[in-house]
This record gives sequence, structure tokens and C-alpha cells, in this order.
Amino acid sequence: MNSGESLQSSLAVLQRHLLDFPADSAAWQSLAQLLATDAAATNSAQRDQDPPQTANQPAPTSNNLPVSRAPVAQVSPASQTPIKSAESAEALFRQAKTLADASDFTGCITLVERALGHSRELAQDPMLAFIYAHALRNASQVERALEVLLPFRRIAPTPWIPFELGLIFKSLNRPTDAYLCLKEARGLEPEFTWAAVEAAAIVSHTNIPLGRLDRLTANRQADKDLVELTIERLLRFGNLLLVIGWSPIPGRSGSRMRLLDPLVPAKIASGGSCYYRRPDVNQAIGSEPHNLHGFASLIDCSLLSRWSEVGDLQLVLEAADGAPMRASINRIRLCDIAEEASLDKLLEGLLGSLRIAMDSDTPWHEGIHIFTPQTMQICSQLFSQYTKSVKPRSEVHWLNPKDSNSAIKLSFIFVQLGHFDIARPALAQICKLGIPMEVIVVNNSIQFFRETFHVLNRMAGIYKGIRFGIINNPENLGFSAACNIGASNATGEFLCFHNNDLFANASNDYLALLHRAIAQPGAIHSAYQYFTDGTLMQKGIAITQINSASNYDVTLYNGYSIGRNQSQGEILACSGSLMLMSRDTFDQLNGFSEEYIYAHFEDVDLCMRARQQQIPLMIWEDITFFHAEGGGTVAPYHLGGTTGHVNRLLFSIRWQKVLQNMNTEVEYVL
Amino acid sequence: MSSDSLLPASSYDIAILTLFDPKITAGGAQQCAYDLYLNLKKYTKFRVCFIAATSPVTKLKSKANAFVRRSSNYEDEFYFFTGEYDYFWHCCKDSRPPKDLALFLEKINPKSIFISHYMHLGIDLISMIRAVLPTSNISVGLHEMLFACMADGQMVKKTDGQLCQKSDPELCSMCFPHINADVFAARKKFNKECLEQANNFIFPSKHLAGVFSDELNISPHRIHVINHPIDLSSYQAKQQNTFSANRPVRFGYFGQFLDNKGVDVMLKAGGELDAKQLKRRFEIVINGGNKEFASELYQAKVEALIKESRNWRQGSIVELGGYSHNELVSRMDRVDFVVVPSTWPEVFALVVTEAFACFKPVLAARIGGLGERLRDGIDGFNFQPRNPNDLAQKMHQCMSLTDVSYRQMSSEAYISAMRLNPKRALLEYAKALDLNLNFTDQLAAGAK
Repeated sequence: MNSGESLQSSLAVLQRHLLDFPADSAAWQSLAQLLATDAAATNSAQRDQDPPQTANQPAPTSNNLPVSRAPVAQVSPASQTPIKSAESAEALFRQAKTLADASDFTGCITLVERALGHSRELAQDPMLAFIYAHALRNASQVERALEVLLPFRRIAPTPWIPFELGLIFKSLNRPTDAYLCLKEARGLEPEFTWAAVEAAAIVSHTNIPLGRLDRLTANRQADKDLVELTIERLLRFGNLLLVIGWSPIPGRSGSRMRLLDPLVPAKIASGGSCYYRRPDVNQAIGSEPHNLHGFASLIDCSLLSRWSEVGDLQLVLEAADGAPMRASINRIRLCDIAEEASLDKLLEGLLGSLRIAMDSDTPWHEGIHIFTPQTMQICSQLFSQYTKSVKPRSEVHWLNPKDSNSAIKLSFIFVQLGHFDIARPALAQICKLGIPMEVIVVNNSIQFFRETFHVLNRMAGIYKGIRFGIINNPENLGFSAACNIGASNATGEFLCFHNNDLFANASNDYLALLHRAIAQPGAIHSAYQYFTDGTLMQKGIAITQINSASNYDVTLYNGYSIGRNQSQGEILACSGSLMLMSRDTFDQLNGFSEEYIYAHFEDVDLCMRARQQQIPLMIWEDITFFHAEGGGTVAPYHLGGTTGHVNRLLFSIRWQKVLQNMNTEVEYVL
Repeated sequence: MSSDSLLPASSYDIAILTLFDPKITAGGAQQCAYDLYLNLKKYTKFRVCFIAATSPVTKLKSKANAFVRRSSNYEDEFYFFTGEYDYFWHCCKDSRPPKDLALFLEKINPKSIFISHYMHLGIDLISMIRAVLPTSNISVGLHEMLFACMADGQMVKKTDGQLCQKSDPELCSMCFPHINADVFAARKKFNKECLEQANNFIFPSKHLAGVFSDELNISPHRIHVINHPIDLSSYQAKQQNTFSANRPVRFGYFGQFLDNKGVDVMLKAGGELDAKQLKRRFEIVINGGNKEFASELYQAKVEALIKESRNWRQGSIVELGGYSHNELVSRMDRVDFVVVPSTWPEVFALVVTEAFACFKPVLAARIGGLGERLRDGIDGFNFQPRNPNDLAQKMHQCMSLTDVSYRQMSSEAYISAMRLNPKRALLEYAKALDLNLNFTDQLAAGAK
């Protein structure tokens, strides 16, 4: 055995070991070293080849070929001496193999072709066809090799034929066929590691539908350090995997869960996790109170999306404080987890877990560790794509025609999630304004359409000069997308984004705000908002830097309402609950960012972008609005009190570079 | 009736709207509105129509998409089919009925609209009418404090039974913990925005007008207090001849047997009166129905007091139960005084008027509109609300009256009832509704 063979053998042994013991840090290090050595050797070998068959993958050597026609249990090097005359197909095979092992592919081809010329019966022998095709492939006659071997694909109970076919297809740049053949080889012989490795190598570079090779790691040994997790729910959307369950050991903020694949070791699936204690549930499920810790982890499997082709992996728990990794006994196969049809389900599970953690006295700044910056951004992008995909299905219902004689001056845009009743006082005031207007309600909760219809319809046609409309979104698209949809349907010269639970002190406050906007159309206008008891709620939003007990990977920033207490700060934004601006200004800003998940921080984001574009923010003290905060939304459990924290994280990631150069106040969240 | 008469007149001068048709669902507010309608028809030349809301309770059959329908037997009377009603926001849940009603009103174009009670019509109808009839006079009648209090408009805390002086969203939320204070604040604002669209407001008592004015900051010149009138011809009562000492003095309770009606206060006062060991006997006669609607706690409390009364020496309790309007005069005949011990700020207390119409002096708690109904010491006595001791003293004072002074008080009570005659009320309504009345000679004579 030469040094290359030894290296490959050691790699295989290590990979097998790590499949069984994924928390063995030393083995991972050894694997990394071996892979580095292998890469160096491969590069050296590639320099000598003309040209390489496929990038990054060494072609199997004849060392891997079977020594007999019987199915192989494991790869073993050939050691027989060449046979000069073939008295039978078996003898001919051995002779041809010897030539192939010696890389004399031309000799091998000549030997087989000559024999076939003498006996047509030999042409029916599958192993002879195999060695013939093997030689043809290595002699760069790949298409001929395929022609020879393909008729035998389903005939012989040996993994070598599909394996060789896999390599032929690979050489022909037909990765899907190659994968299927390799998978077939793996299916015929569970211990056929090279087939698995080849399959993994192929699928890690191509986009092949998921499947799996069974029983690759069937012979695991017991591990005394294994953690037995109770996995209650596995949700998958795209490359994100949400694992929800119970753990016998507590986790810490910032600890990670990983899925490690020794066959593709450079690609690690990793995710943040949050833990919480639910003694009530422990009791309900029959475990001792405080015995189990609830956990949820969101794992980015984008590098592992094809990993499950080659078996199942263990979750590895990695503590934030450098404690040794712990592997779980639980096996996860992505291919077994049906992908959710809608992002909704993943978000419901994800945000629901965060809400449960928070309801179980886990501070938000610990619970938020369920996200890593990476998974946060993936979620955000998915949400944005989701809203874009659903938007075309929104339905516009105008309840009365537009008055053709007068141009719409102002379009009010309400976003509805839950009951719309609370908007009655604002609507009563708006109807008194006496200017050509539109009132558009973008309904994110289609089940409440009837209620919204009846709130608005009684006014439609009664109040002259006001057009009323409802836009039903088939799903909850969040605040930003709803506002943008409303704006895209609005025809007013000015747009007023207005929360349902907001109302003015008097109708004149609306007129005053509009007149200020007319006077200064290139600005964003808002007004002081008060609690319904008359206490000042906010005169604007400052941005603070959050110092918390649990450090996060990025600095967290907060939008802090100025005015409700004695704290002061530079006002950088106004609340999205009341924003009036010209259509041109809104378009210039390209609307609200739809990357914020459902709601919160999109208003601060908009104002930050306005600031970058030198668009002034005017918040008027002499115009008074009251905010019946929270009375206007009936959010599902998972959205209540969670999206603010999630979007705070997203906002912080997005504006990190800008904000760290600003002199922001520090806010302690302990 | 010709087929033409089934059609509404093309226009009306006055439209009176109320929560129910009294011919279908009896009640003070709707009766007053209907009486006003009849009197306007009788005594003036105005074209008047009456529009009564319905609710599922009335079981009037609706017809698809017909929300305002003519009453088949009464010219110029219409039913408004409310559909489901939202008692929190005081709006029809279905938008089509109120919209249709507003458009109907726009079509008949009345110069004056009187919404005698906005329940089952919707408080937002006021704004809608204002939008379609911007120059018409809109008057709104208020009969209880629902605009300020969700707890049956009684301004009594559900938490501890104490009185609320003013609506406060935070306190409202304590009575209704499932509704947060902000929503109550929004409701209050909505009520104000809608009510402000009316020109005038009509109240049966100064107390209610005061609460309304405080709550909504409405200018006093838009407020009119008109006591509910009474047609004495329908009360064939006679003044009793004697207040002799040889029989027990009878104190009657008339009304619902509900938590805040103060029956318990009256019974406790009876106990205190009995403890005074007076020479003269007395009876407490309870003419109270709907006991089953009282809370269990309250029922138990009253039962215990009645049980206790069996130990009284000079006094006794007689329970006669509920009564119909036809029985009222005969029931009144069986008492000497009517006690109105309400523990909530009654808005008007029609029972006081009814007592006066039957020559009965009244002992009334000095609370809410009830407190302003008497001329203390002339047609009855006021006592401190929720104070059995004070009531016992006033009962004792009553028992000490001479025959002559009782008769004088009884006569004054009837005079008080006479002041509430419908024609006088009609003149006051005319002023409030901005009618610029062109009364017939008959009305002018009556008014004089």
C-alpha cells in the first residue's frame, strides 16, 4: 500500500468514526489535517494529469476494484499477479483486472475485446462488462464505456456495476444519473463507503433532489457521553431547520447546535438555540419538574441540504462557554422532514418558541439567541421573498367609485391585523375633513374581512368625496408589505400611514398635519402622540445601544421612544403609527423594507434611509394624537411580543456600521 | 287605505327615531317618543314620521335587503330593521341597514330629526345623517348613562358597588377586565365624535344633562332638560280620604327587584324603624318583579332581611310581586307612600311620576335624577342614598304626619304630576327640535 492508499484509508476510517462520534473534537482535528494533506497530494497529482476528469474529486483508482465477481463487503486492494490466458470469464476478469490495477487500460481493453471476439457468450458476463467499461472510462472512451455497461445496470447483484456507471456518468457530466447510480450501489451494499463518499461529493456540488443512502452508519457503538434529547418537532423551510424539544441538560445563551458531516467536513450546519424551563409541561408529560429543559434551535442547513443523502446525523451541542461538545443520540435526516409549503409554519414554530421562552421567564435578550446573524438574515430574505410571492394574490375592493371631478389629495392607509373596530374614532374624525380623500385598509387577517367591510361600507357613498377601499391579503404579509401594497393602490398626492388604534384630539389635527406636509412636501411628517390618559407617549424615536447580560454576536440597537419618561436622546425616527408624506417622498425612499419580519423597526429603518437621503423628519408638537396602544391588533400568540425583538436584531445587523459611528445612548437590558 | 297611502310621503318636516316601537316592545323612552310623534300630529300641521328600530327580540320578520319598511297599519310609521347590534360601540354590525336609513332620510329630507334613543339605530347614524342632511337640525335624546358607562349605564362599579362620578377608561376596564382601558378610551372618543354632530341634546333630568356635559364637554346651550310628560287622563286615581291612625302606615316599593334598586336599604330601614318601638304599626309592601334577574348574592341578602323581619314587633313585609301597567293604580291605592330607595343614580325614575299621578307622596334617595324629582317636604321627602338610618327617620316622619298634612302632601304630589303635562312638554320639545312651531289653535290654547 502506497502513501496515497494509506491516506485514503485513514480518511475513510476517520469519517466512519466521526459519523458515529460527531462530538469527538480530536477526530475532527485529525480529519482536517488529513484532508489538508490529501488536498495537497491531490493538487500535486492533478498537476500531472491531463486533464483532470472532474474538479475536486480524485478518480477512483484501481485499488478500489473488486478482487472477484462476488459482491464486495469492503474495498480492498488487489494483490493478484496478472493472468495471461483466460480459460473462463472468471479467469478473464482476473486477468483484465490485473492489467487495470496496473493502469494498463489499453492492454485491458485489448484483452477483453479479443476474448469477446472469440466468444459471444462472454459478452453476457456482467463483471467482464464492468472491467471492460472501467478500462474504457480510464482510457477516455467514456461514451463507449457507458454503451458497454448500461445494459447490465439492473442485472447483477453487485454494487460495482452501478458504482462504475456512476463514475461514467460523472465523467459525462451527468451528475443526477451519477448520483442515482451511486445511490443504487450504496443500496446494494450498505458498507460501500466509497460509493457514499462519491455520492456525497457529487451532490455537494450539484442540485440533486433529496434522497438518501441507507444504513451507512448502522453499526454505531454506544457512547457514554451521548445526550438524549426529546425532539418534539422538526420544521424545515428551505435550508432552515427548526428543532424543538426537551433536553436533560441546560443550555446557555449563545450556545449552538450543529449538524456535522464528516464526509463533507468543511460544511457545517449550525444554529443558535434558546432554552427555557417549563415545570408545568414537565409535569404534564410525566417527567419530574425541572428535569427537562425546553429548547428550540434554528439551524442553517444550506451547506447540508444534500447531506442527508448519505445517512442521518447527530445533533451536536456546543456550549457558549467552551465546554466540550456533546452529541445527541438523536438522528436527523433532512430527507425525512417534509418541507413546509409555506414560511408561515416555520415562523409560527420559531416565534412561538421564542414567545414560550419569554413567557417562561427567559429574558428576550437570551431567547433571541435562537437566531444567529446568519439565520436571521436568511429568515429575513425568506420573508421578503414570501411577501413578494403572495402579493399578486391580494384583492382590491373599492366600496365606492372615485369622484372623477376632484383629484385625491390624501390617502389614508390602515393596516389591519385582527379587529378593525378600534379605528372607528379615527374614521369618524377623518370623515369630517371635507377634502377629497381615500381610506384604504390593507387587511392582513382575511378572516376579519366581514367586520372591516361593515365598518367602512356604511360610510362609502354617504361621505361625499371619500373613496373607501379594502385590500385583502391572503396571508399576513406584515406591516411593511401591507403599507407598500396600500401605497401602490393609493392615488393621493399625500400618503398617511395610520394605525387603527390612533386618533386625533380633533379633526383639525389631521388638517394641520396635511397643511404642514403641503408646505414642506419633501419631508416625513408626524406628530406628538399621547397615551389615552393624556400622558405624553412619544415625541419621536431615538436609537440606543443595548448592553445586556447576554452578549450577542453583533451589537444590538433599540428604537427608544422619547417623551414617555425623562430620558433624552437625538430623535432619529418617528413611529410608523403615524407618518404623512408626499407620494414622491415615499417613492424616493422605495417604501418600507419588506425584509422586516411582520412588524416593528420598519419605521425606524425608513427614517434612517430618509436621513441618509437628507429627507427631513418633522414631528409636530402642536398637533395632538392619542394612541390606544395595543387596542388595534389581535396578533396570534407567536407574533405577540416577539417580532419586535427579532426585528431589533435584524435592524442592528443592517445598520451596524452606520450606528457604531454615531453617538448613541446606552440602554441596559438586564 | 288606498295603495298610494302605502307609499311614504315624498318628504317630511320631522322624523322621530327611537329604539323600539312601543306598540311591540313597551318601554319609557320609546313611549315618550311615540307620544311626541302623536302629539305633533295631533296639535301641529307638521308632516311627521316615526321610525322605530327593531331587534331580533321583536321577532319582526325582515325582508331581504329591505331595511326600512312601512308599518302596515299606521301611516307615517316605519320599522328600521337593525340586524345584529354591537352594544359596545353602539353600532349596527351590518352596514347596510344604517346606510339605507341614512339614504332614506336624505330622500324624505326632514328639517328636523329627533333620535329619541340611539340604541338599535347606532350612534354613528348621527354622523351619517349629518353627512347626508348637512343643514337639518338633529336632536338626540339621552335616557341613561350608556354613553359613559358600560355597566348598564348605571355608573356603579361592578367591583365594589361604589358610584363612579365620571367615566374613566381605567376604571371601566376594572369592571370589564377583558376589555383594556385604551379600548374604552377609543369608545369614549368615538361617542363624542358622533354625538358632536347633533345640534341639541334632550335629557329627562338635570343630573343626566350634567353627566353628559361633563363627559363630552358639550356647550350648555345645546342641552335641554325636558321631564318625561304624563297623560293624567290615563291614570284614574283618587285621592285617599284618610290617613287614620288605626291602621298601619304602608310604604310601597314599585319597580324591578334588581341589585341597585335598593330594596335591601328599604328593608334595613324597616328594621331600624321597628327598633324605635313606635306605637303605630307599619307595612312595607313590595311590588317588585324580575327577582330572578338580581344576582344570587343580592337575592340571598334580601331573603335574609325578609327572614329577619319576622321578628319585628310593629312592622311587617308584604310581598305582592310584579305588576302590569293596568294594575298600577290599584296597587298604588294600597299604599300611603312610595319609596324609591335606588342606590344608583337613577336618571329620571318614572315611578315617581306615576306615584304623583296617584296622589302618593314619595320618599326618594337624593341620588342622580331621582334627587331632583321631589320638592323635599312638600310632595315627599328626600333621604341620603344607601343610608337605611336616614330613610328610617324619614319613614318615621311620614308616620307622624297628621291627616291634614298628609292630604296636603298628597295634593302637592298630584300638582307635581300636573306640571308634567304633554302639551307643556311639546312646547319644550318644539324649542329643542328647532321647529319654529306653527301650532294649531288648540295647542296654543292648551299651552296658555
